[in-house]
Amino acid sequence: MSTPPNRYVQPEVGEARVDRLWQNVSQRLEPRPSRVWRGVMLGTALSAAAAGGAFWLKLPSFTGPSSGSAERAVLADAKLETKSDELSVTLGDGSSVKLASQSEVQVQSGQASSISLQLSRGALWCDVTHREERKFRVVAGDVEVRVVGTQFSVKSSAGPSPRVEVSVTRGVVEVVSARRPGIVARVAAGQSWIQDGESAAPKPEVAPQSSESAKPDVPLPSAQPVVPSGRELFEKAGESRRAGDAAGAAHAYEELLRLHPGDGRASLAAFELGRLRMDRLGDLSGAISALERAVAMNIGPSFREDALARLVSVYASQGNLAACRRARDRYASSYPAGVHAAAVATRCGSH
Amino acid sequence: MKELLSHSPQPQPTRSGAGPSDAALVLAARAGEEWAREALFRRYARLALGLAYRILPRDADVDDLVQDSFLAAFERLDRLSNPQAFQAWLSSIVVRTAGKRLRRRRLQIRLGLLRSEPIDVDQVVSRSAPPDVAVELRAVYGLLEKLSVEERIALVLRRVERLEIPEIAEQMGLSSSTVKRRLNAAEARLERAVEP
Repeated sequence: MSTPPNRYVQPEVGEARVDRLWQNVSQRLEPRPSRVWRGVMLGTALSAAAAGGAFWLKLPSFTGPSSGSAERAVLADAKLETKSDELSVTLGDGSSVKLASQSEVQVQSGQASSISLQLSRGALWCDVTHREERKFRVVAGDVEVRVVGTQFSVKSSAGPSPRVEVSVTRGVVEVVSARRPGIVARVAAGQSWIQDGESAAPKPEVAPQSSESAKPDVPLPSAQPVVPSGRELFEKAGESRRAGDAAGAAHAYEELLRLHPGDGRASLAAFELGRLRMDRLGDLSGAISALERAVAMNIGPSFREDALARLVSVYASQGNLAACRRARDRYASSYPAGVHAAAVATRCGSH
Repeated sequence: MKELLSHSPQPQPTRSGAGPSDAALVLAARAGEEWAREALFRRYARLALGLAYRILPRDADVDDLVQDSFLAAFERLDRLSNPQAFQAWLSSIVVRTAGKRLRRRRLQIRLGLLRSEPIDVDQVVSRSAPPDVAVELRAVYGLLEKLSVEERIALVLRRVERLEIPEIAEQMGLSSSTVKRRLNAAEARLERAVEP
């Protein structure tokens, strides 16, 4: 019996994708929060109501073992504490916060206009929905992280040499340390900011500034940028694309091309970037530059053919008939019997 | 009956090997056992993703479709008369949920809330497909957006999944005669599309 054609139409499915889907399904299957969590929600809702706010905790889920003797989160007066499990909480606006095991966070403010979390120990991972009118901050020791709308983590360790580490995976955060009054460090995607015992008395490489005379934000000397690899950026782009986040995927491809132009994946990244800008983001000029770059980077033959055909299409959409004809001729001379030959021949008018 | 989700990749066994039967998992899941639902999900997630992708080949839509399908399946487990038939039952839920999503999507496009995007045939059809199969698949996927929702699904189930008409009828919840009419219309357009 011949192989069914469906074998040749398959999505990419990795463990991470299956895990993520299961987490979403299991969360949506939750009929209602457990008794403990209803208490949490009630307490939080009451405190929010008292403050005139509208922040609430919704559909919390545990990511650790779902049953058995595993210790679970304990909460008292909006204090979240984990033992052996991690804890995930979705806020009312869609932002999510995940508390690592052996961690503790206090909800200092839970209003519509201001959310403030105090991390006492452990690590906190946040994916924050951008809202102009809402301030979101995390405090760890004497360090304050102000969020614009991003994905980041904060780790805080106590002991003889306390250390706070902020890592940003998407967007930008502002970090303020009581040890460096007046200085705001901006930490962008792919960068980490660390304060430890050694940076407790930092050298005055950056002069403290008053808030009135503050220049554009200056990173602290201890900021340690971490450059993601080409592979990581390519995978991140793929994940974003699969999640429907075209802008996020495009950003990852752009970063790959900017940081690793010689990477083996760069030409494919340029092609994918062109495709996303053309099909999803409506950025025709950006699509042209990315597709031209893919062609110039000697992308594989089948992708090159597609890229050349797309260039014809996008120039036609722009109304740039001269460029369209040049692209059409380039395609026709390279692929006279190509799969897009008939479609390409009808573009750019009759000349 | 040939099961729609029976083609590669195969269901994921448990770590210990074959694992409990579908019937055992369904009964445990009905009793509220979270582990049983998770086991069913992990056993059939890849198969459902594959089927969803072939009907609706956009990754973001596929994830939503599979989640919605499993949710619907778990919420209606009590209605499954033969617990061992979970796989075929799930596939019919995927097919019907895909139909609803496609109808909603087309309405959104008509209202200007969504932009119509052609299917990227080069992306969808594997480069490892033999030439004759690739030609057929490219023709099918190049045509799908021009078909009605029922024609589209019927054509994918026939030409890509290689199901027989009674099986397609069962999966889609239609009569065999309706499926025949939808297939005739779709096949006629497919022939016109591949004419030189």
